[in-house]
Amino acid sequence: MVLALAVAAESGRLGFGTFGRPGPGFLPFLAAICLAALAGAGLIQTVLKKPGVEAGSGFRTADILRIGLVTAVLFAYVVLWDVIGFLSSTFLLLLFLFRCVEPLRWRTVFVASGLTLAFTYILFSVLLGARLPAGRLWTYFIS
Amino acid sequence: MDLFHQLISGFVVAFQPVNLFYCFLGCLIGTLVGVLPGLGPTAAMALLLPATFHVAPVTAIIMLAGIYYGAMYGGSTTSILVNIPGEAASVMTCLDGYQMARQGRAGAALGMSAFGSFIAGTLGLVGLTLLAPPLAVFALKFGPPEYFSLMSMGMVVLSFLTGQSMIHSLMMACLGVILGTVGTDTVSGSTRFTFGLTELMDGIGLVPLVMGLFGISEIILNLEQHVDRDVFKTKVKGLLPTLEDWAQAKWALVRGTLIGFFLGILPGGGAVLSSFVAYAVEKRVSKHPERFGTGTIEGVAAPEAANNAAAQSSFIPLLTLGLPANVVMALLLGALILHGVTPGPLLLTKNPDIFWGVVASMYLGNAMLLVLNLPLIGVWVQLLRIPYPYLMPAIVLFCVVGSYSVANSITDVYLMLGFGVVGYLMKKLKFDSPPLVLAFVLGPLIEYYFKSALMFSRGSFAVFFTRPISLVCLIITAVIFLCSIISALRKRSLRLVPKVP
Repeated sequence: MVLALAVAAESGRLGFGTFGRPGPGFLPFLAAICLAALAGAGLIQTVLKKPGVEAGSGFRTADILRIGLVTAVLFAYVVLWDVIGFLSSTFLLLLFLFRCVEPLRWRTVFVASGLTLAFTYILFSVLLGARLPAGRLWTYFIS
Repeated sequence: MDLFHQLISGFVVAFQPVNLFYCFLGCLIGTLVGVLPGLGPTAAMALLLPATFHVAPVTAIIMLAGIYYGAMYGGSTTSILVNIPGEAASVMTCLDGYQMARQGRAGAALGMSAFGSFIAGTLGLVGLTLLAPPLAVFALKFGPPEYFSLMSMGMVVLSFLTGQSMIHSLMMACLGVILGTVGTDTVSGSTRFTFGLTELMDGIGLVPLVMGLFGISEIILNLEQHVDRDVFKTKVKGLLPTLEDWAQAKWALVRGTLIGFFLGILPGGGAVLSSFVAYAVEKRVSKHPERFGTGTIEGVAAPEAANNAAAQSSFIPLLTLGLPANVVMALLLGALILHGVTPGPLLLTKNPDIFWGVVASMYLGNAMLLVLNLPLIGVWVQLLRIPYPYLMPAIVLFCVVGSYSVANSITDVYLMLGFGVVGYLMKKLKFDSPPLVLAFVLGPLIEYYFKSALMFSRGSFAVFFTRPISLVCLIITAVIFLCSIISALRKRSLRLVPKVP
């Protein structure tokens, strides 16, 4: 509902135009109004529903912590791309994922991380020509 | 040029070594993602979309299409041997396929699944070949009002059929339209919802959105559920179904093919819905419905035939009208647009090589898949034994690098991770992703046709109601709305009736 109202307000700023010549805010405004109306209907439906009729799948604290940690690591990993580059940061990420999500033996972790990294690098950088970041840190030392 | 010659010209395109190779690659990857639970065809296609930028549009679509129908074949292997659907369209195959495996008939189940898929897929293609050209000619009568109404109808039908709650699905569709408007407005040139970020001037990328909603969200969801994948320990032998099996399954194959073909064409239909309907119909018409779920061959043949026929027929509205029937077709529409090709009625006349090349490649792909899925079944069984903790980091990495490599943009990676979290929350709160993605892809087109229709009619909304095709589409949309409201009210009144002790 909040998102819909924010979009509607921004659409108003963009300009609705006229029916004969719709402006850039016309369709987003219509979509936002529909979204707000549907959110309102959903809210009423939830309020009117008997408690305990349909228990949704809830969130468990342990899962939230685990998911929060992995998500935070993924965001940090992308931040690290710029600093230490794709290869180093990806190797660290793979070590984390192989070791911490479902604990594997360290030797397996290193071999699996190395192989996955090599395969990904060859596929995307060598074969498909993606320009993966080298990292400012290494660029600074090399230059 | 008649139909036969056009099809031959399509085979000439499909038999070019590069196209043959990409068709095989698509089928192979499709089978792989079908076999391995965790990465469906939608995420796999989004992942490989950047890889197709280096090849011709026809080659790209041949490969992406191969992933889609290949996944339909591969999904059944996991259903039969592990009792976990490798792909959503194979859910119904679990019921009888796994029971057959437990009774030592895994080979017959896998064989019937592969042959049934091949027969239905090929028949679906014949239907596509025959039906698409006249439909494209008919679609030439469509103007902006018709396209607007048709696309709106498609979104509403998809929301009605796919979601558990119509309100939730329509909310997702509205959100998809809003996300589709991010970036520069092509008519006025003004930027919308970019928050001053130059990276968003061209809009939100389809690949980060799909990868996040379908790839990363699935990974996050799997973090909280431990999935055991014990491959049924039986020797897979006797892949050729017996004559008795064929006699039992022949009508199930025919019915499954017909149901799949027609549901595949409808907006919101597709492989998943058709496999559910085909199984239900087969159980209903069977003289022994009690045998369903205990390992009957019809329970494998019908849903497998239906999902493969639907996978082929869902190309009809995309290639002839430019209207994607489901989320995978929406991704293919995005791929065609990214390659500078406009799908629709003019595709047949302007780019016949693409249309007929893709159709012909699907005939070849079906044959390739039969070879990939029967003699090589041992390879797929071995792949199923790879533990999930080994696969998960690779899938995460592929999603991250795949979304980055589209435009070498780190913003796209952040967006993908953000959509991954949103997708996870959506799954937990029972909001469906397909209406969002379909609306995201169709949003800019809907806006274009909506504005064009209004400008054409000088601001009169009557243009949508005075043209017959547009009117029919709007009436269907209104009927679906009414049906969903009546159904919701009926459910509510049933709940409110006090139970008699």
